[in-house]
Formats: sequence, C-alpha cells, structure tokens
Amino acid sequence: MMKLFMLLALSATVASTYAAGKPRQTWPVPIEVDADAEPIKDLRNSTSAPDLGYAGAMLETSTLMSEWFYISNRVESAKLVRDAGVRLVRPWNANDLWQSGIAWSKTKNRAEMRAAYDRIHRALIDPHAYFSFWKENGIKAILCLENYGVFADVEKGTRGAWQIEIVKKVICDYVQWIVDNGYKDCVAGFELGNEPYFGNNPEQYGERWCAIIPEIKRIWPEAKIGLPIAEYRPNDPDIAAVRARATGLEWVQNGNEFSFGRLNQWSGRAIVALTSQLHNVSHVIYHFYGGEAPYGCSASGFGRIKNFAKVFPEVAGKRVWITEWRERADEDLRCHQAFQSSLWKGHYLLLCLAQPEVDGISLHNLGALGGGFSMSFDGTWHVELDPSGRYYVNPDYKGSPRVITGPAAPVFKIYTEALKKHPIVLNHGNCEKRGRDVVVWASATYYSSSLAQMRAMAKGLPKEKWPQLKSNVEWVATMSADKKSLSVLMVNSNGRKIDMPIELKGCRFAGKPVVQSVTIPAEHVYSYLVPGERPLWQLSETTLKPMSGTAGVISIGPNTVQSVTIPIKTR
Amino acid sequence: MKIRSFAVVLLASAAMSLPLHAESFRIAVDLSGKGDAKTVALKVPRGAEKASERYFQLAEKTHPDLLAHGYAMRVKPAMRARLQKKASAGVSTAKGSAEKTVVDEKDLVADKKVEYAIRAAKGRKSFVLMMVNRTKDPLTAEIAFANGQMRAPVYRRVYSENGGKSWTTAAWQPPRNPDVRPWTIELPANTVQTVTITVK
Repeated sequence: MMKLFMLLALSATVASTYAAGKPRQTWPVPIEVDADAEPIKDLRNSTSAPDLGYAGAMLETSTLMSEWFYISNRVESAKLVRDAGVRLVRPWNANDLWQSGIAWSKTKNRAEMRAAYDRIHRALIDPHAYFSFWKENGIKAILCLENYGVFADVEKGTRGAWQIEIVKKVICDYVQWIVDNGYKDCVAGFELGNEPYFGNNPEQYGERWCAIIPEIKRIWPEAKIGLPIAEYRPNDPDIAAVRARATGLEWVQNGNEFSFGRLNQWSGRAIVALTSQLHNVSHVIYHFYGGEAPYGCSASGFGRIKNFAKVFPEVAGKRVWITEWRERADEDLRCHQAFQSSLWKGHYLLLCLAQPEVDGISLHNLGALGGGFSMSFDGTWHVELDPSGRYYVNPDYKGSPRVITGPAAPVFKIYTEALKKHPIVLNHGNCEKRGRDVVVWASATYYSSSLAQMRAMAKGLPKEKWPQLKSNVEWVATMSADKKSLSVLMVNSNGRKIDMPIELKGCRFAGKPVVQSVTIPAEHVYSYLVPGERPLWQLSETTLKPMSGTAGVISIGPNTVQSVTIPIKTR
Repeated sequence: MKIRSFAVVLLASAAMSLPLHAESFRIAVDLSGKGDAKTVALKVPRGAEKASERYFQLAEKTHPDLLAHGYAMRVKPAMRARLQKKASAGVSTAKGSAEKTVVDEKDLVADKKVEYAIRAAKGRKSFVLMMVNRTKDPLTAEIAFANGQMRAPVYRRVYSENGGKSWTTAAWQPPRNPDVRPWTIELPANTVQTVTITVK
C-alpha cells in the first residue's frame, strides 16, 4: 500500500512537472545519492578526519584549567569531548606549550615556575597528559608552531631566544618527541604560525621555515604542513592586478596600499620566500570570519581560495585547512549562545564538507562560549574577549573548575559521529539545488536574515514587523566505506517541518533509519542560553519504520540539525 | 526599605488571532538605596519549591542586598473583568491595534498572589528581581529604573503549563537593546522566576 502511494505521488509529481510542456523544478529538490558516483571526497584521506573540529584545546587559559581537564578529571573530560563531538583540536603556540610543559614535568621548583607562568598567563601541563588523552579519545590535532622565538629560560618563562638554530632545535625536538612517543596518529599536521601575515617580514618568515621544514620532514617524512594565507575580498580587481599588487612594490609606491591590504601582499611574498620548500607544504591555511555573504565564512571564502590558487599556481592543488572560523569577529563572542548560531553552524559545516579541497576546519574556539564548551574557573563563564565586560556570572561557583557543553556541541556531535562511520562524501544540496559543483549560499542568507530578525527583536518590534527569514534545508549525503550504510547530514533553519524526497542510484534502502537530532522550541531560537543552566535544546534518537526501494522521504523538523542513517544494499 | 509599586496599565493586544490580555504592573527600582542582607521568603506554589529554591539561593548569593519586597498592585477583580470584556470587544472591532487603559490608583489593590523582591549586587552593577505569580493571569512588569540603562535580562524560570501539575525550568536571555522603552519583564501564569539585569 505504501509503495502504491509513493508510486502515485511520484507519478503526480512527474505529471505536474511536465504539464506545462517544459521541465519544471520540483521543490524541494530531492536529495540524490549515487553509490557509484565519484565522491566529492573521502575523509579517510584526511589526517584531520572527521574534519569538523575546534580551534583551541583547553590549553589556553590556565594551568588550573588544563590540569583539571587533562589530568584530574579525565573521565569526565572524555564524556565531554564525546558530547561535543571534539575530534579535531588546534592548540595555539604548540611548541611553547611543549617546551614549557616538558620543563614543568621535570622542574624541582614547581611553585616558582607556576608563579612565573601565571604572570604571563600561560598554562603549564605535562605534554604526555594531553597527547595521551587525544590518543585515547581519537582526537586529532593541528599543531600551530611559531618560528619567531622560543623560551630562553623556560623555567622563568622568559623569551628572547630568537636565533634560528635554537628555534629550529626546539621545534625539531618537539617533532622527534611526537614520533618517539607514538603520538603521530593524533597529529593531523603542523601549521606554520598563527596568522603570521600580521608580521611585517615575510621574507624572514619564509627563510626561517625553509631552514626548519627539511628537518621536520627528515624526522617525519609523511608529516602534513600548512602555510597560512591572508584572505581578501572576492570583488578585488582582476587576477593579474591582484598578483601584481601582491608581489610587486608598485602598489606601495603609488600609495594604494589600503586599497588592497598589506596582509594579502604578505601572503604573496611569503609564498615566494618559501618557494624552495613549497613541495613540502601539503596544505594552505585560511582563517575566515563573518557569516554574511561578502565575508570569508560563507561560500565567498571558497571562492577566495580558488582565486588565490589561480593567482599563485604554486599553491594550486594544495589541500586546505580552515584553522579558525566564526560568524562574528571578536566584537560579539556571546553570539554563540544563541541556537540561531548553532543552526548557522549546521549550514556552514555542511558547506565545508562539500568542498573537495577542504580538510580540517576548526571553529574558534573550543572553550570560550564560542563552541563546544563553556568553562568556568574563576566565578564567571569564560568569554575569550568581551570589550563590554558582559561576562556571565557562574553563581554556582565553589572554587573548582566546571566545564559543560555549549550550544554548538550537539551539532558537532551529530555530524562527527555520522562521519566517523560514513567517511565518503557523495553529494550536497538544499531545497533549490544539488550537486558537487553548485554553490549553496544557505548559510549566508540564513545568517543575514536571522541576524536582522534578532536585531528587530532587540528593538522591541512585534514579530509581524520582523524582516523575512531566508531559511532552508541543507544536506550532505555520506556513505560508509563498505557501502552498507548511508547517512544524510541535514539542517533545517525553517520554522516548519520540511519533507525532503530522497532518490538512490546504485543502491537501495535496506532497513530502519535512525535519526539523531537536536532541536529547540521556536520561541528560543534567538535566546542566548545561560551557561550552567539546563540546556533548552533537545537531543533525541529515533528509529523509524524500515525503508525499501530507491525513493523515499526524509523529514526534518523545524530549527533542527540531524543525521539520518539508513542501511543500504548495493546492486 | 521602600515599597514602590503602585501604577498599573491594562494592555489589550491584538497581535494574535486570539485576544491576548497582558496586565502590567509597575516595579520601581532605585539602586541608590542601601538595602540590607535580609532573606525574604516568597510564597512559592506547591511543586515548584525545589527548583525555585536553587534560583532564589543563587539570587541571594550574587545579590546580597535586599532593596524592596512587595506585591503587584492590580485592578480590583470586578473592574478587571469589566476592562477585559471591554478590551476583548475592542480587539474584535479593531484588529491589529493595541489599546492601553490606564487605571486610577484608587482602583488598585495589592495582589498577594503576585509577589516580588528586588536585590542588588555589591557595587550595584546588577540587580535581580525575584518574582512569583500564583495566579492564572499572564502578567508583565514594567520596570521604572532610576540608575541608567538596563542590559538584556537573564531569566531563570520555573513554570507550569498545566495548572501546577508539573513544573519545568528554563534559563535564557532574550536579545534586547538597553534603550528600548517601555522596559518590561514577562511574568506568565503559575511562574516563579528570577530576572537578573546588568546595569549599563
């Protein structure tokens, strides 16, 4: 009976499509899965798989917090990382952390060393504590290395050792330590500095890395290495002019430096300076901020990556890491507390997954109301930066740290759990279009329109006067390596349930779909959730009636992120 | 300790297809008062005690100075029924409009089922309203604030949607600009809540 009904429904759809004498696009455009098609990408080829992760690693704030997370509360932390889908982290200043951590593990003057590092706001922790934790919990790390200097007197926390031979030794000792201790499998790769384009000497930057990279590759030949690239606007002048400006001096001489930006020029000069080692650079690295369409954290960002590779063919074909991204810059870090931000992340993560050249991406950041965790270790819930001082008080504070999952956590959990078992990314789309080559702007349109609604709400305007919400259903279809299971990752930013048709090629449904979802009541989509209190989002896991054949419907509720995992059989 | 709550307005809103009547009472907040460290026991509906106790304890811990304790001044029941009937009629004839009826002070009476206390933090950077509505009427409190602008409120609410059979907790902060007037706090029926407001 069900099959008959579906057949009739399909016939009616086809009839209406061709009734006008020409093909008419159905809405929503069905999800299409072709088990035999060339995949968009296979995450098994990525050292950072399942690729969706966080910047930071709970090592950034204090010794107290780091030791609580990685030493004294390891069991609780393991549950936290599962609940927040933490499979990829990206610690800043990784070589500093290691250098000071090794000294910390050996020093006989712990009190003095702790006091010195408290003064410079750096955490001290034995590196074995976090590397072993990552290894036990299947976490990969992109380690951000800095080549401008290392600790001169590590126990006192004084810097000043900038000579290349000293810096090279510390970095290479670090790499050797990773290899010797069997931690290679939890290192996705190395990042050549955090936003080095804010420096002013790309030639020196390139020269120093050219001295270090060969030694890293000698110690660990398969190590992945990423070069940071500054972003620029897609509406820049034509490509030839971009290249001329980025590498030449003429734009400086004619006074146009602010029309393009010295950061972008830095990238060009660094690439030239690193020419002799570019063959050892596997990835280019971007930082994207701003969720609206013109900014990097939208489909625009991927356009920039492609454009840059055209301008600088030296980096064409390199894989991509986006080691920091966020819909806002530092001016509003509390925006992540709204579930609207989680829905936007649900869109953007799928957009990134659908980019063939992109591997790991890490949301800025793991532990500062920005992403997976909210943490409190001093009576407030930590916000990385808030110029207005709008900290959330932790009224339950009793002197010991507390870490809880934040509103982004369930989104990462649902997606990464599905991707671990379904690493083959097959297709991508939304209600209007699908396919590996289409550009989907759903994240940007949702972000801009929902932000406009939030601003109207904040002004006290009645709902009927809010601007229109431009929401959508976005999806990515993934498959297990043995082709026995399919998982569709989905987000619905609409305020109503949407039924998405799904069509299979090269396989058929063969069992009960399991839906893992997170949703929130409509009245709280724009609410800032209060850390420490009961979350307002609702997680659920539901097993549906078996599906069979090659067509069906997957429903997704309003304001929901979900994965739908269905057994399949290939023909 | 001053109790300064006396004005009332009755709002008849036609924002929805069904008539929605949100009666509003006024709470005056003046942080310049010295306050004292007393604990005031608001009468909480049966079943909501445990969750309410935590929220109230948090409020007292972070906002030790009690500035005021009082009851909502509401229109007398007979008049309220008349006004609501009138408002309903107005809604049916003027869709989309909102009518505001200001009631004379002599028609007001303290409703012991709608109780609140105001507590302030040391340094007066924030205050908290501890509120109980044991009636079946959804209410709003209009805040008259004497000490600057108020940032968005943080609600910690214990509420019942089935007449007190079961209780749920929720905590959130709606987006709200500090300069929007009037400054109102929602207080639904069968609700216990604390509302923490940081001062700009």
